[in-house]
Amino acid sequence: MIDATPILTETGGTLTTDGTAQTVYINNAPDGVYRPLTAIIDFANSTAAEAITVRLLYRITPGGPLTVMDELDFDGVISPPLIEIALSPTRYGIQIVLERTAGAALDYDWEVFYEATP
Amino acid sequence: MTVFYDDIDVNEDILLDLPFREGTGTITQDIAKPHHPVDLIGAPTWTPLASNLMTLNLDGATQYLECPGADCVDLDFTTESYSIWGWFNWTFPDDSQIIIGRYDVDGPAFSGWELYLYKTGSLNLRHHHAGTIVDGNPRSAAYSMGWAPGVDWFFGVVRWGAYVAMFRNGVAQTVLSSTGGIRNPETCVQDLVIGTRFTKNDNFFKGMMWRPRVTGGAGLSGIITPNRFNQVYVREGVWF
Repeated sequence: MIDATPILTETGGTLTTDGTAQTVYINNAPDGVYRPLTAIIDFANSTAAEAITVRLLYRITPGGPLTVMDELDFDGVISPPLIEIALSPTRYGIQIVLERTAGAALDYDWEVFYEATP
Repeated sequence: MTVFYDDIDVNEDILLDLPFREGTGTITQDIAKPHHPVDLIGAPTWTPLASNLMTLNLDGATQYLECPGADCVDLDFTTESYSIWGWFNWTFPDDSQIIIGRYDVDGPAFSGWELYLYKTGSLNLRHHHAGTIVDGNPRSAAYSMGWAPGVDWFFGVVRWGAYVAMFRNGVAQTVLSSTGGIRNPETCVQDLVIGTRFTKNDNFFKGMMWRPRVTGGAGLSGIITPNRFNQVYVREGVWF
């Protein structure tokens, strides 16, 4: 029996870098198996001076830590500016982190698609 | 089969939807199209229910949510119809507890709208209007009774012109209104507040909140119909 049909959902916003590791998106404690699909980050504001690291973290055991699964550097001007990150299902948590390691505080638009109930 | 969020009829004119899925941190994401930036102030407690549904628990003293007024002008309702809906479980101490509002009640710029609970167990929708006096006050209101503390309630409130309807667990409630019904609120520049007064120093909500939502627009577009509230209650109630 299926209690609820998953709904394709989207959220997003703008992150202003401050030089620390900042959360772009997180579901720290899904209510069950959870299916994030894709994340898109817009690097249009990056100049030759910016160095940005994006990390993708998952928690794969109950109570365990969010652990880095992938880490990507985006230095300088990024062309084309939209970066897509494919996401995997999770039961215990997912986090996308963005960190500016060089350059100025700039705005980065982002959005994430996922399937969720209720 | 894929169900798209915006194709669900209750979401067609939705302006704010906060499902509290983060489970940590001081920001919660709006999954409605406007993507309102909502900050958690005072570190409300992320609290999973027995079903593992994540909720927010506010302490009734210092904790609340806010969105800058400049970032939520779409929630500056005046003539529009709108609906507010979600879940709460409140407890005392404060006699009067704000669920959500975008308003100014101190004047001289009386303006906006607010939804709050009162110690008698009433759920109250109030509009503020500097230029119109209703029953001797620069405000008009509507309320329903029976919102007992300590219970998980699914609430729905609909404003359409002078008319206000309220629903508890998907069932229509008796609503009492100001003489002549509720009037258009004045346009307001205040921040959106959830869980506190517009001045952010009183009327703190104490208890659980989950997924406050606001739908709004011209004509009938902001209205959630009674059967839709009932369907949402049936679908979401299994988590409580």
